[in-house]
Amino acid sequence: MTLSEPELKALMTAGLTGDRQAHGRLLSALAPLLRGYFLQRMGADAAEAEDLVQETLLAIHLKRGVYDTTQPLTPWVRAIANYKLIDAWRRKRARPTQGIEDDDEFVAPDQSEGAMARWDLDVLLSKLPERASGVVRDVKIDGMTVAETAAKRGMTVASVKVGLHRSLKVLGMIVRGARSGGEHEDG
Amino acid sequence: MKTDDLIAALANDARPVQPGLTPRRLLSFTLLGTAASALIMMLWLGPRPDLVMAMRGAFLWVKALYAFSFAVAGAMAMERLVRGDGKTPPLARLTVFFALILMGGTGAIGLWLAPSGLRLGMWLGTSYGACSLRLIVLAAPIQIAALLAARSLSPTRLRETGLACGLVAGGLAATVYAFHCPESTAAFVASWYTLGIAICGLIGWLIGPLALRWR
Repeated sequence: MTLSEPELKALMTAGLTGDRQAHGRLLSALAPLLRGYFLQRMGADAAEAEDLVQETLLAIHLKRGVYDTTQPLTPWVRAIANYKLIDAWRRKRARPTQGIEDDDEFVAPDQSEGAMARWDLDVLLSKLPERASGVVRDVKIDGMTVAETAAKRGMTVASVKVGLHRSLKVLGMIVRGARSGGEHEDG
Repeated sequence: MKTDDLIAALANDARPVQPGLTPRRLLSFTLLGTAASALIMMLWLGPRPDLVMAMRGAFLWVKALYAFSFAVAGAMAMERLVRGDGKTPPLARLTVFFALILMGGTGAIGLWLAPSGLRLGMWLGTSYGACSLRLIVLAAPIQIAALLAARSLSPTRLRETGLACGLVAGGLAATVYAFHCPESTAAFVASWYTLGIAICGLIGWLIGPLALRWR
């Protein structure tokens, strides 16, 4: 049950007004995403990842008054999750090569594969028109060539290229807008 | 504890949250710290003897405004950073930048225009050795209050947040100190006020990762 950013945010906003059911649904929806996120980064230590899932859910619950409702929810959740992850690493001191003191490095949105990333990608692509998101999926995610995509979709090579370029630009703008200065998509 | 049980317990605990928690928390803590700082200033140093006269002039307010602009910049940054996913807004950097340029530029021009024999005196005043140190002492209660307020929220960039706390503390302490300080040149303020505020910022930056860790 993957919910989109607006749906998650709506649940959060409802929860903030005291809607217990919405708050519960929010946490239930976030739990699997966080689980994937931590599993990927903690190695295969499922128990430890689950501890972090719980700690993060608790932090989201306790600190939800801090969340700025004019901002998207996902980056906030990710920032809290990231903080909990760094905190766990600090306690373990198990990642000395990662420059634990460098907060920027850690808090920067991670673009690697993973549940959160894939989830974000789906949310992002859903903001494009269907035809455009299909082209982006074919070329950038499934690794088809421009010519193959053109053939598959009955478009000219030029129009695939133009469409791709525009879509990536739009996605870049959405990402930058949502994260106030995140990383660039290649365009 | 199973995660599902935790979620059920947390959902059951979901009381309404009053909006505006962040600015209220930051403001109340900082005001309390500043009141403590002002009290220490009054008891320890006292206001300048000619305060009433000086308050009619412009330069006391220039000093206070200069100092206050660092606090404003720090507060703008804190308001974003304590939430966890926020970053220092460009306006905060710009505020610091222009304050430095304006006061530094005015000070430099003042020195340049002055007869060479007076320059050293204008720059060092009568209290250059004490100024920065006093600022750091006066900033301590504000620094502590700001760090506590920030830690009670959810900062994730702990050094940057610590720096912002330090600027708030140093800026407000220097604003308070302006009512004691008898100096009257921009060169003095641009050097020693700035040094004191910068050291406060550095202290925040250094202790941020320790002082701001929250669970």
